[in-house]
Amino acid sequence: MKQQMNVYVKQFLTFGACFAGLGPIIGGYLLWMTLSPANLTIRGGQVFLAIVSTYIIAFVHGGTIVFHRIEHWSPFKAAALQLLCLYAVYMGAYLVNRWMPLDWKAVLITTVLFVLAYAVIWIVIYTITKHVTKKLNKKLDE
Amino acid sequence: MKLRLFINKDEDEHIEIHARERNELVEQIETLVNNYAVNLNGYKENEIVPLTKNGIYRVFVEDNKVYASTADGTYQLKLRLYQLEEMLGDTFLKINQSALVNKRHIKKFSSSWGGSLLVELTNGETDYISRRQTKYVMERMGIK
Repeated sequence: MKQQMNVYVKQFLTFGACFAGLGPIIGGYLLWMTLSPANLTIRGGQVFLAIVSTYIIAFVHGGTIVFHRIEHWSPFKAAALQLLCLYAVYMGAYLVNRWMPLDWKAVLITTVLFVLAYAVIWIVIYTITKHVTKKLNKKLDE
Repeated sequence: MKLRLFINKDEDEHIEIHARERNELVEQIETLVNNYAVNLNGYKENEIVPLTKNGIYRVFVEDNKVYASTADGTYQLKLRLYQLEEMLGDTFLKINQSALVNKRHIKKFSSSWGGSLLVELTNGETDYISRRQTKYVMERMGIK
């Protein structure tokens, strides 16, 4: 089991590194879209922070794909942990970069959206599994 | 039912049954052949027990060792899971990367709140069907 987990950790890092390459590109694109030369008041430190943040977001996005490959984890657990990681990294990046106002209402709305997204994913997974179970049991009775 | 026996040293041994329907006799012959066909040794402490294919409920890997669960208990096997998968043939389903279950001993399928697909055996054992194996299990159960 420990050996198997090491494989997943390696996969997490590999996927993360592959996806992370997109981070600075996304960061650059966002800055390009939101800033025009007339209002270019952003400081170098802010640009650096934005690039690092998008790098980390992309890394975690890529890495957490592995959660769905861990066989002994239920789909519920895999989806919950992935969403929790994404929530933490997005919320952290949004607040640190001031992409979102440091206001409890904004935090609450984002949190509710994450929970709703998770609820939808869970309902879809559960419905599909129930359907498959019903089909298999029907075959078993034949 | 007619019985025809052919003795030929040059031919691979095989049995074919031609029947109008699956009945008690067919099932008894099937059981006899299956029990005869595969003989495995199960190890438990200092004991070596011959196991029959039909008597095995589940084959699983735990701590890099392969075990077979039977009505009389769990025995260690000295073969790898992929070798057993080949040996045991169509009667067994690979439900995840570390377990095979005997189709004849499946009691029911169920789903957990976590969205996992589970298989319950007639001896009360439960194991999960991995997402990767779900399609294969469905196909093997005759669902397309």
